[in-house]
Amino acid sequence: MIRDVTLGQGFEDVFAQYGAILSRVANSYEANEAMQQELLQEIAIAVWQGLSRFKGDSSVKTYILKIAHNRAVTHVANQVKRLDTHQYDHDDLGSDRFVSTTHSPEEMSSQHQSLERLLRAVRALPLQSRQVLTLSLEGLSYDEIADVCGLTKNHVGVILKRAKQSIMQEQPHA
Amino acid sequence: MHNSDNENQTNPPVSVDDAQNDGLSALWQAQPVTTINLSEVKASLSSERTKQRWYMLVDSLAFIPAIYLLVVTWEKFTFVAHAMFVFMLVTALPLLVYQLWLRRVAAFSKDTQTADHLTQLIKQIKNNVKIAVITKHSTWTAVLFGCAFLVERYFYGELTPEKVMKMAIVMTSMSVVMLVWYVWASKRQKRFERQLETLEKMAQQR
Repeated sequence: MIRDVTLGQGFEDVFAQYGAILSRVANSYEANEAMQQELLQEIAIAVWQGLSRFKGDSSVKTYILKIAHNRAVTHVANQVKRLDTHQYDHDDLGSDRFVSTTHSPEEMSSQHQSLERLLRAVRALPLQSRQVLTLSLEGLSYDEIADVCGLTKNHVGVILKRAKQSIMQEQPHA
Repeated sequence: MHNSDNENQTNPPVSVDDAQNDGLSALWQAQPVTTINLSEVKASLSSERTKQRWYMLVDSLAFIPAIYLLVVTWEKFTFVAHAMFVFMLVTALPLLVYQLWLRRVAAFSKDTQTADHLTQLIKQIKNNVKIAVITKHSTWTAVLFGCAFLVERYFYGELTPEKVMKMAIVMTSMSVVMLVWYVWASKRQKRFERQLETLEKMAQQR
C-alpha cells in the first residue's frame, strides 16, 4: 500500500530524496546541533507514520512538509520543560559543519556568515511567517503553501512579503 | 553528516519570482543538513508504539485490582460501603476513558494543516492541564474516601485491635503515596501550563 501511495517510492527512497528538506525544517526551529538532530529524528518518525496514511491528494513533498512543521511545533512546545532553546543560539553553525569544495575560504566564510544571519532571522520570525517563508524557500508555490498552512493564497502572499522584508533587513546582500 | 539535496536540483523553485528571492532561496538551500539515521528511526518508532501500548494497558488495568477487591469482599461490607465503592468507580471510569482517548490522540500524529495543528495542540495541552488538575485533586479525594471508609467500618464493622492496626497502616501508606502523586500531578500541571503559554504566544504572533 505504501508503495502505491508514494508512487513507487519506499520509505528509504522518500528519506533519501527529501531528507535534506526535513533537516532544513529542523534547522528553522532549533539552533543547537544536538537539538536539531533530535528534532529531525522526531520529524522522521512522524513522516514515517504519516506516509502510511498518504492518499495522494497532494505531492509527497507538500505532504511531508506539512507533517514536519506540525511535528516541529509540537517539539517546541515540549521543550518548555527543558532549558530555553534560544540559549543555544551562539552555537548556530560550527565551522566544521559548513563544508564546500567549490568555494575559496573567503567565499565560504562570507556565505557562512550570510547563512548564519539568515537562520537567525528566520528563527526570530513569528511561527506562521516562518513556516510560509521556509516553504517558499523550498520551492513551494502559493497554492501549495496555502494547502500546507490552511491559508488563502492572498494571505500567503501578504505573509510572505512581510517575512521577506523582515529577512532582507537582516540580509542586505542576499 | 552531510548530504546533497538532489531533489532541489531536479525541481527548481517556482514560487520565487526575482533575483533577490533566488539568492535567498539558494542561500537557504546551501545550509548544511543532517542525514536521517533510518535504523534509529525504525527503532524509535517501534519503541514509541510499545511505550504507548504499555501506557494504555496500565491505564486500563488500574481498575482491575479495585474491581477484584470489590467482588471478593462484597459480602463483608455494608450497603453504605458498597455505595461508596460504586460511586468511586462510576466517577473514575469516564476519566479513564478520557485519558485513553487523549493518549490515542497524542500517540498518532495527524496530517492537519499547520494552522489547525497549532489550534488542536493548544486544545490538547488544555486537556492535559485539566487531566493534571483532576489527577491532583483525586489524590486528596482518595484519602478522604479512605477516611470515610474507616469511619464506616468504625460504626458498622466489627473491628478488632488487629484490624484497626492494619487499617491505620494501610491509610498511612496510602496517604504517603497520594502525597507523592499530588506533587507529581502538580508539577505536570505547571509544565503543561507553561507549554500552553508558549503555544498561545506562538498563535498570537500571527
